[in-house]
Amino acid sequence: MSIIIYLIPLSITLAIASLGVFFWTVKSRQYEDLDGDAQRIFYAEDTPLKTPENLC
Amino acid sequence: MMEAVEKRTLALDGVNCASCIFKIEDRLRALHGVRFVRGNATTRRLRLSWDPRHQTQDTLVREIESIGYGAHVFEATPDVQDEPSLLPQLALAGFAIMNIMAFSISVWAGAVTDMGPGTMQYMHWASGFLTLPVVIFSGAVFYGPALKALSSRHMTMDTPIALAILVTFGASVVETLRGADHVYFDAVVSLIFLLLIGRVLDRALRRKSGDAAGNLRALLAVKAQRIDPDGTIQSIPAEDLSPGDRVLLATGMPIPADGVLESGPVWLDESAISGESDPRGAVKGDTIIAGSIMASGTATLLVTHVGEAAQLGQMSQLIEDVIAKKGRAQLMADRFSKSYVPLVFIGGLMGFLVWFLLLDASFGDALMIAVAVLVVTCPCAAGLATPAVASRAVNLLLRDGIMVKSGEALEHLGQIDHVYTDKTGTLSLPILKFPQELSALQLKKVAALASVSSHPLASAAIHSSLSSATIDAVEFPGQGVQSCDGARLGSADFVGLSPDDASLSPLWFRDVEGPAISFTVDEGAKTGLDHLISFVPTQKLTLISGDSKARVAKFANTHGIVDWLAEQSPVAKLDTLKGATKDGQTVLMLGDGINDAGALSAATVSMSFSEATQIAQSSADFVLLKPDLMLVVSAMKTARQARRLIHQNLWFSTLYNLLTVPLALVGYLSPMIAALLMSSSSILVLLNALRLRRHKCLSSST
Repeated sequence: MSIIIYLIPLSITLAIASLGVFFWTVKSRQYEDLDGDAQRIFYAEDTPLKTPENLC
Repeated sequence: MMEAVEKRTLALDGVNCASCIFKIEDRLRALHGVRFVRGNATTRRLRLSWDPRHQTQDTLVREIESIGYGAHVFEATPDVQDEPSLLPQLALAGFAIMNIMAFSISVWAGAVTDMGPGTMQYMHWASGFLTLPVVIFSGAVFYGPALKALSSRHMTMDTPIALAILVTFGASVVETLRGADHVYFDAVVSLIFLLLIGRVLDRALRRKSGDAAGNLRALLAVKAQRIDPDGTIQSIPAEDLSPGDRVLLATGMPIPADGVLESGPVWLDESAISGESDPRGAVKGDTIIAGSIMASGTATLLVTHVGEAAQLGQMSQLIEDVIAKKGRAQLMADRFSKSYVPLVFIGGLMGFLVWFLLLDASFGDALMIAVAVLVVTCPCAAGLATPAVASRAVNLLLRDGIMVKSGEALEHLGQIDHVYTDKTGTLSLPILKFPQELSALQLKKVAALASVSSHPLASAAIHSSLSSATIDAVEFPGQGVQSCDGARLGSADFVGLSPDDASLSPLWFRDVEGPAISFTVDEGAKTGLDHLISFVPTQKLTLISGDSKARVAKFANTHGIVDWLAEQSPVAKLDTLKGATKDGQTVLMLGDGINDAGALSAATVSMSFSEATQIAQSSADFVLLKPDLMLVVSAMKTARQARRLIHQNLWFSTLYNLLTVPLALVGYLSPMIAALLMSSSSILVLLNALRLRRHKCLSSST
């Protein structure tokens, strides 16, 4: 059972990293316009996929 | 090299969905010199930055207008503070509660099986480590207001919460240091997490209503065309005018300040000020007051009074006085917490004293009983009861085109005792009746003549016909329109009748030959009026209008309104409403004019329309975005249901406390179980809020 001595801090560290990512999303205003962003994808211009043929 | 960049936030007008915003974005992005465009479909605002060498604010606004939308510079005002989002605090608490629960469940399961004391201690320390940042960072949301309330010697909902957090956390730290079996870090964090959900909802609600009100202010700012001494015309905000300035007035423009006409004649639509529905003629030298609208003609105005000194300013002063004196009715949640909070403290203290002094419990055990009482009585459910329902209601109403400016008004709207309403512009619209004796050819001619003028009667004539013919005609401002062949449309005097006939009808038509034919101007009902009248009991509806007795009586009789008052001045309207609210009644006022503004602010709840005058809109708690009275009914229905749900929620949370407090006092509940009970009661309250439905039934469908 002594493995939990390492595993618990490890899991908490991982969770803190994801919490950091969430803080970044708040800071970069990603929750300010939930209605608009949900629809933005339907109106965004498509850019062609990069394939070996059109790469250059 | 640094480029010069200008930045602005614009409030958008006429955008109904996200795609309109993207259209505007695309349009602006294609322009030379525009650096950044980002619209927000929730707040209906647009952030823009551009290079001033290539674009100006005016060219950009015009570009937006060219595709059919409106844009106005938005300036953040001090009363709409941009409160920071509580999402980081909530996320931290959520993250901590999930991890701590994992430890707690292990400990509780381990306590009855074979967990060694070392492992248990380790779990406690891990929980404590996770709880500390939550108590410091997330909990701070409650300490600030609690301290502030304490310094002014009263208690709010935050006081017992802050105390419960700190006492439970402190006790848990002590227990951990002593190496005891049970610590209550889980209770601390779940308390903070659940309460923060309520706060986040509450803040989102206030932000939404604040956004709406802020946009409205930007859209309504009145502009004036000032004529400078050198003859150039400058568009400036009306509040920047000063006495002695000359202002150019054109048809359809609102009068920006009180002043004296320097040219004329013109027609003024003063319905917003006096409630009188017929336009008034004014000639050179006449005094006109701000807030009326130029119905037809062009003139220059010499400004005499501005701001507070102007009649309109005096009206706003009147309104401010009313608001200051009114003293908003206490809200359900406030009343609830005021009587409830002291009980929580007394309960906790009693529990501690009885167990410690009378029943000889140890200090730690007695403290845990007190903590269990504090946690189990935590007004989480009560704290969520109102914001959960109100935020859902505001979202539902906005989807129907009803803008809510205060959450408080929503609560009052659910229990209206009496409805007062203005007539002109609120319930009625002018409708022109075409005389039977007109031939089809003449009808066409009338419509063509009317299209030359922008007089309200002329626009009514165009509205009522479908023809789109054009004609060569001249307008005689304030009198009528004459075509090249001699046919005339206008006042009685203009078509060659005696002044006596003028009282018969305001609009006449005389063809090249033949007698003059009169038009009757009638008041038509606004869409949805029947629904409103059938929804509100007859004895609870009063029409108060500034219009003449005959017109009001006719309108009331046609539509089955029994109770009406005519020829009411703005002050009389205000007094009526003041009298009505003094009896403790909850009163709803509907209005659109400047003359209604005082009454609107005196009413418990008020509603106006998006096409109403600026002052009426800013005095109203609700603004209806479509000219449909059915919206009034759906708002009232939604508010009623919301009120019922809030009541249920408050009752439920009270009942829950009545049952659990005795259990906690006799020591049956550990703080852990107390936290679990408290969480489930909060979730039940949230689920109950979701039962609020849409009451949408537009009158066009019937």
